[in-house]
Amino acid sequence: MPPPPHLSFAQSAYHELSLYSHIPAARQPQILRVISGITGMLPETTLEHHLVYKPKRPRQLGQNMELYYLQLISIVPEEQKHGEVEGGYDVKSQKWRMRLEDVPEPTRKPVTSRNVLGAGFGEGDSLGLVDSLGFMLQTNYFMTVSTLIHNNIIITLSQVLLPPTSHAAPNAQYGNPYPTSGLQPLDPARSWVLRAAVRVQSHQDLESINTGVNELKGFKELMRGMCGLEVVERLALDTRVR
Amino acid sequence: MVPLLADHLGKCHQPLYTGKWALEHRLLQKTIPSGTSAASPTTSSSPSNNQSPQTHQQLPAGGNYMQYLDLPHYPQRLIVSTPSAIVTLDREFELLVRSKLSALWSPRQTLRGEGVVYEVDDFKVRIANIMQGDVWKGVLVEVEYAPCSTLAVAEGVIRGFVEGLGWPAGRFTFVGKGGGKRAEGEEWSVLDTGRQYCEVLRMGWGG
Repeated sequence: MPPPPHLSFAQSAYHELSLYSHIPAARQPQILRVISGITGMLPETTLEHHLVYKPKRPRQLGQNMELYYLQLISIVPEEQKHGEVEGGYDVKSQKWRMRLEDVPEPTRKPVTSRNVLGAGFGEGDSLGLVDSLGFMLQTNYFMTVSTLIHNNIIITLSQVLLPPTSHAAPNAQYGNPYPTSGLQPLDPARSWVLRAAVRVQSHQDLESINTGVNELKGFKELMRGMCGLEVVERLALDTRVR
Repeated sequence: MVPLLADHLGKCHQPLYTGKWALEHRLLQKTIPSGTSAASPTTSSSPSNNQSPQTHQQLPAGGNYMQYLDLPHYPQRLIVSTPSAIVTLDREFELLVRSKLSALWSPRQTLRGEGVVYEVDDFKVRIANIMQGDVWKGVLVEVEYAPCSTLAVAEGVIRGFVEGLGWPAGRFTFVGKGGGKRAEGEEWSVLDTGRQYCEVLRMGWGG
């Protein structure tokens, strides 16, 4: 079944405007309740599997040419409690999507602004294809994401999780989320990231950009006192390979 | 050439003309990764259909070319093929490669095909002239037989149909997942069709 279209990674190519906030672990349930109240909906929570790939550097890199990290993302299905099914997670039969996020543009806008490109795989060996495109698996992680929608804003509260390391299992380099109770937050303080994002089709569509920026500013005002939504330092979101 | 083949088809059967069709195929070459030996990223022009192991060894791991195939009868996605993998992917993949992977991949060859589609009983026959710009590269024919989903059985049926047409001798391609070695009872998927097209349309690239 395809994921609902509003989920954070389901679209293909767009320009994204966003604001971020750091949420301490103790505040997360309250923040989630408040946003649930604002949006009038319950959060939709999924577990995503992320694979981060680094390109192999070509012998000659042309002028003005950049290399970018590439991600594969899929939704981890709910764990089946069938005792006899060992391992249960097949990384190769997951429905993967490719995502390449551009470095945020230098801008004076009061929001982070970047291009996102992506494409969903259908049939075939997606992991094999990415290998043959000239990419090496760099790291893997899981992310629990609660998604809510407020007008045009996609609001996500997310936490990066790591599986316990096991080198013996086949495909161990990709990571295995099962049992999901074994996943541990990357951040020992168990904090969360709140992100409010608006997608527009093109960065040249100034009218939509302005609408998006204004909606984000409005949401930031709405959340004032609860959490501070900020522009993230551009180079902290740099996806270029150095 | 397309009218000639269509004429042959008409003399043997009562084909039903169902319309025009067009395909697009692009071949990209990988830039040489640092750390590989100086073996040239060649376009071995040998027309040999048998992939000898030697030509494979010259390729960097994973091969050095990628093919996109856009077929109107599978409109949802592109078929993307490299020497080691074949998948279907959203069309936006082309934009992603063009705008962000240009340091890794450069376009080398674009082929376009235009032609006609006929139905003959349970067979669909697609015939197209293949052009590279204004240069005619040949004629491509796809014969589809839908009632059967097992590759091994379908191959015999399709081969028999093609041979019965008395067409000028051409190259018949029928490559399963394991190259020549077909697994028992292997079922057809769109990737099998993609694999045949990519095999024919790469025109000798990569050996």
